[in-house]
Amino acid sequence: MELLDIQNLKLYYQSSRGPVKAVDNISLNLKKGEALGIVGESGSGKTSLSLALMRVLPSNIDTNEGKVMLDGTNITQLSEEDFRKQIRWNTISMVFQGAMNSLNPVLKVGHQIAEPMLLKKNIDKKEAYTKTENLLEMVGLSKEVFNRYAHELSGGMKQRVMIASALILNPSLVILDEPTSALDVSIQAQVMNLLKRLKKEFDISMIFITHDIALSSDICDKLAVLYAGEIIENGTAEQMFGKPKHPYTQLLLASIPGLKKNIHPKFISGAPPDLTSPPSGCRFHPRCPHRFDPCDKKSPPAFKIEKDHVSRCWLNGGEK
Amino acid sequence: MIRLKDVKMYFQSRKGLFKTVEIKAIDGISVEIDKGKTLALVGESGSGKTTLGKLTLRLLKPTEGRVFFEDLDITDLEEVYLKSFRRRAQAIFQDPYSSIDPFMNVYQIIEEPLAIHHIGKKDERKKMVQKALEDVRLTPTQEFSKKYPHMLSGGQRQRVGIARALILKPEYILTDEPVSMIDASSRVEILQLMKSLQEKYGITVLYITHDIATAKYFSDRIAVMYSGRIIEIGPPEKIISEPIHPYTIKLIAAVPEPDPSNRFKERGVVDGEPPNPSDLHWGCRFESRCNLKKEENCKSKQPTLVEVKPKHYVACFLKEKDKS
Repeated sequence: MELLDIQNLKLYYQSSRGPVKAVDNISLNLKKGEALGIVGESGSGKTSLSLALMRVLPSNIDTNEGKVMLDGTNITQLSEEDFRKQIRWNTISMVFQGAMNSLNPVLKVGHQIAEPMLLKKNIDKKEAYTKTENLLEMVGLSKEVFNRYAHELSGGMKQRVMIASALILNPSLVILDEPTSALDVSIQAQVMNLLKRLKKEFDISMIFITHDIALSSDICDKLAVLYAGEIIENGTAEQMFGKPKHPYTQLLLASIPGLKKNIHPKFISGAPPDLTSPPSGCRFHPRCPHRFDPCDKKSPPAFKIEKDHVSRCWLNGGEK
Repeated sequence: MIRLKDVKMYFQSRKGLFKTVEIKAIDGISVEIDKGKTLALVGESGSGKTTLGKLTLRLLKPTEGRVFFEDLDITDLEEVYLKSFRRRAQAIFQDPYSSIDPFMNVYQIIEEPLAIHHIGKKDERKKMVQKALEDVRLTPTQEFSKKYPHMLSGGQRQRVGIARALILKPEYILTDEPVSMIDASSRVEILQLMKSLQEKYGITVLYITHDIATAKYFSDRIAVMYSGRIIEIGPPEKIISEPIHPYTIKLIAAVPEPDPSNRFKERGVVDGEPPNPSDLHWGCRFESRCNLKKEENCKSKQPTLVEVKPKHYVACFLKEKDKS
């Protein structure tokens, strides 16, 4: 059974030049214990998608529609109050991008981790603090970190604290938005190892958002590639890394400077489009090296390549 | 072209009200960059990469040691001569969002160094700026000249930064993490552009990065820094495929490669974090995190760079014996 099922999600922002189509008709699903990677360049709508799931949206929303099913309930229909009580941080929690810089400098980190739990009724302080200490150990920190302040911790430690704080209410889904982008490679590898361990031991489902497609292979069972607000290809990790079908995915993979292989990396020329007036037809066609007749006229539908593997490119248009 | 000799850079840092502690950012580095070549300086944050870069431009004055630019000793160069030196040595910075003035348009940004150094008349400068814009492929140049930084993408801004550094026709350029703020898909484009311009004008480059994978493709030599010292230096292919120092081995293992089987295994990582630069012991800096069987020396003496294989130098007591 699917834990999360997103159907035709749209999120447009208002702007003076018309709506910005940050998330445009996205459908995705995720099973319990799975990790889904969402990969795309900056401005492709990765973060907007996660904000829409958490319902933490700015005030300039133009359109926000679609259906999000979580464990069989339609959470898009919940009132704001119910969403806050039942969903946010209880069932879906998030490690925000650059979150490690948002720790309160004058509160002990332990208290900050425990805070969501303290806000609940019927939970006493002692219980919350014990849970926090256990969580700190779970993310590879010592218990005494509880009494420290943010400035006393290194970047890697702060990121572990943020992960612990996302886990405090035992959510079934954790959204990780670029959780390692500010860290050194060796610390990044430590954090990725921690995430792998958490996923395996506690069966936590994850949505892993990143611009680094190589890094996503470290944890993701499934991968969705986002371009200009649309998912252009998704499939299992084996399908996406083994036989990517969409030219954009292929180019993203070719842009990684490989350490083991000796192939000179390539780049994707041009820049991502303006989301107020995306290109006609396929949104990638102005940058695509393989574009042909239908590309600038008709938007390609999702072509099924094989089970679980879908690509939106006219080149893959055999059976629909 | 650039030569550092036994350079040390210590900073004083206040601790509490009355105490000061010495932070050893660079602790004994000798290194050279040949004319027209690229040296990549790789290491974690806090390892001293940026400090070393600043020393080569004399933005910092070393506590000990000498810095040479060709035959010129720039260590104690006076202000008057510094200006003419700085015309020959330029820098491209990490963050194109904050290193260029948001209130100047692209033309003004690129022209500014010419104005500071009193080069050319108005129409000559115009031609030079146009040429620089063509060099970094911001075309049509007329259109880009009038734009302001907020109208450009990250990659385009960084090209403005490159054009600004190139306009004075420098012989040496320091590039400090030039692509870390740019999207992965356009990083390679910027690096290739820099490489082609370097070859066209025969510029010497110091490429500072934490990304050893790009260093592999865009440098002639890689130096790995750890806690203020160079611990391994050699040709890129040797460093990547046959790393010798235990730290370099772990650093390379930590770089993610796109492989769907990655998710089933944990990466070999260096546990812990680098030592505090204000509180170092006598021995090898990596001793506390090293997973090899240690010797007496490791705790009491600093290893120095030894040529273990041809042109491949390593600072590790345990590997000195492997010398072939």
